[in-house]
Amino acid sequence: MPTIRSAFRLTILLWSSALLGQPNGGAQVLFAKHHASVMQIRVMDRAANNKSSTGSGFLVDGQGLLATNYHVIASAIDAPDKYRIEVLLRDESVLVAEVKNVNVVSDLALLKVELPQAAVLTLATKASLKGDTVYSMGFPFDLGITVIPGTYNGLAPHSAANRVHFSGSLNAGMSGGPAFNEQGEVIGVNVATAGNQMSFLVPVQDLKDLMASPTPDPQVPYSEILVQQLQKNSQRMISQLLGGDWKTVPLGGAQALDEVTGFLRCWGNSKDMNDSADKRPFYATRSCQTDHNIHVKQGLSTGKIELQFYWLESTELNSIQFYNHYERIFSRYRPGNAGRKQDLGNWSCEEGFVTTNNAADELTKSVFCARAYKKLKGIYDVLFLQGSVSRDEQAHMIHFTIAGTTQELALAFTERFMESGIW
Amino acid sequence: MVVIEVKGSEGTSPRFERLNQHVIRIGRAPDNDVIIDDPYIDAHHISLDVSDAASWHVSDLDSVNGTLKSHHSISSTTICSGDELTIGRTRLRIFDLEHRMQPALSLRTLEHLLFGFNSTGSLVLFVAAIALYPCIAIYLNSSGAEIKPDTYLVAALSSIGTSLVLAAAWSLLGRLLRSESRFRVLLNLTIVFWLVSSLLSLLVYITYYNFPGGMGRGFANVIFMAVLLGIYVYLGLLISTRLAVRSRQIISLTVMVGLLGTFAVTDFSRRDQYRPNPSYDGLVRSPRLLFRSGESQVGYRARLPDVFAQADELALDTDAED
Repeated sequence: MPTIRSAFRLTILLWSSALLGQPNGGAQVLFAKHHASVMQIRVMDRAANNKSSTGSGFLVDGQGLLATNYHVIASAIDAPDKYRIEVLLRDESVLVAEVKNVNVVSDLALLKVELPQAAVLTLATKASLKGDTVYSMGFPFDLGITVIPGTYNGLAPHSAANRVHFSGSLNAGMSGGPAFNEQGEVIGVNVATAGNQMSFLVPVQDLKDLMASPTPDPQVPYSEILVQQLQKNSQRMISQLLGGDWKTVPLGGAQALDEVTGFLRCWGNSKDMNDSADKRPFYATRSCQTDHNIHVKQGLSTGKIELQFYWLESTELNSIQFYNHYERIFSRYRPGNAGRKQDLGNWSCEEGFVTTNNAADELTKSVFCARAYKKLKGIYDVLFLQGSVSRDEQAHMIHFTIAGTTQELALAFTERFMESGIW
Repeated sequence: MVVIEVKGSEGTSPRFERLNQHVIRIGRAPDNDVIIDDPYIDAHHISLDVSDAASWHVSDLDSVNGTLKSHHSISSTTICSGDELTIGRTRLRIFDLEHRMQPALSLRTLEHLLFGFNSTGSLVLFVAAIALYPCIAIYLNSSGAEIKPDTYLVAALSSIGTSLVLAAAWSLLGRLLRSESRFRVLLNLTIVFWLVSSLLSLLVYITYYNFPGGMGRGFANVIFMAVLLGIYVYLGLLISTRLAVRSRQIISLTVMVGLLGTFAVTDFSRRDQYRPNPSYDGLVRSPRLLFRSGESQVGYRARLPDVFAQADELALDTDAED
């Protein structure tokens, strides 16, 4: 056995060293040509005079404009008194950078440094094709500049924000670095990884849009800019939902919604009837959600939308036992995003017994909760929950949470959801 | 002349014998002065000499089961008016005609009424109820998983055990301060309060279910519990101590205020605590417990803007605290 295992390991090593030596004629050329335009971005704690987090960035114009991810510099946006942004040059000298513009939703930021006449990267104008080789550059784990080859796999199909699916290994610290096509043009910005060669880039078009948009007045606090961007994003998503296909599908003895629109993906689950050890009542659930959160700052993510449908029935339990079980489920719904005390207020809730559309004598226990963002005025997380209370040993619950929305959008969606014919 | 009270087994009422003799013979045989139908008594069990008014004399006539005076076996001893003897399964109390009796228990005094709250029937009933209560709760809370008999047994025993310990503690206090334990009265009382408080929280639960929001269920429960606990402590002190009315009132009031105060302080301290998950009222109950009608969807939605207004306030409140 040990012999086989070591032989296997050897093959892997040989293969990977062959990989490094061969097509990386391309990688080597690319690296030699462009690595001077890729820099490490450091968020420095002013008091400690040391870096608190690092990412990557790259020059996009001759006046010292750098592109990076919003999340790389988020803490400096949130607490400019505590943090400053520095850019590390090849000769180990540093330049202080200021933020010119951000897009929290697509996760991009533009920084400005005093660095005239530096080599600038070209942004791709031609769309890449699935299977094209892509080279990503950045500073993983503070280990110095690194180039990583991978494959372009098109736009992620169901993403709530535009994302390029890049099959390559991005690592922490590479965020904000560029990804090139074989012509050496930037096709995207490194942003996230799901592990196992599953990584994501912000498409270069989003960067072009941000560069073309007017630079905000430095007098306007960034919290207002973030509020506008989050509102606009929620407006886009909720409008898309409201205009979606509200087709119902059966779930147990009730109805649930199908995938209303592209960015909602649904998953189902039900009790395994063959598992005789599981004596709980029968349940069937359907849960639909968006696939990504908007990173606002350390510890605060938003933008997630989640719909859930839950059918519960029992032939074994008596009414009191059934409702005790049902109540345990009903009273433990949680929001889909998380935050901390300094960023979010406490929840406010309103409960009531509400009639349904299809049967006048059927009542639902309805719960609507909202919490406000402390520094982002007008942005809320909402949670809505409705459960039947007029049936004996059957229950039907419907639930949604929307993170980072506005009062108007949340109420419009609540109305559509309540009237959607699920009841 | 003496009067002898003859009391058979538990639950039978005593009979009184008025006798003129100087020497009184007691036993099962027809030739005795006092004849007792108790198979554990000898034909001629004891003889009682009351010729000397100052010092009566009792002798056991070599009986099979002997004679007890205050739980001690005797063969021959002196006794005085009011003393109790046990022969076989029968208790005897011997009085002279001038024996000073305790004043009558008043039907108008709570204390005296409570002293009578000690019948075996009610005790058995209450202990059964207190044992059954947690078992019913466990059964009704099950989601279908099998419940082992020992779960029920442990619940029942711990419920009875708790009441016993509480009653015993009061009883010990009574023994020390009043030289009377009155264990049964205290056990009955403890169980009654336990049951009443459980019933009340059930009522609060159902009321709160029908009228969600408003005053928190926790708060309503605490008020009821504090009142009940106050009454319980007051009655416990009444039975077990000789404290003045004023002192009893002060002590039970302190207990009530203490409980309410603790709740208020913890509630107040936690008010601004950050909670990542909403603490909504998630009660859902069987339709049989829902007595009210519902509102329209439009009516409910019309109330929702207030939720946002309150959320804004909650975001400000905690801000000011930072």
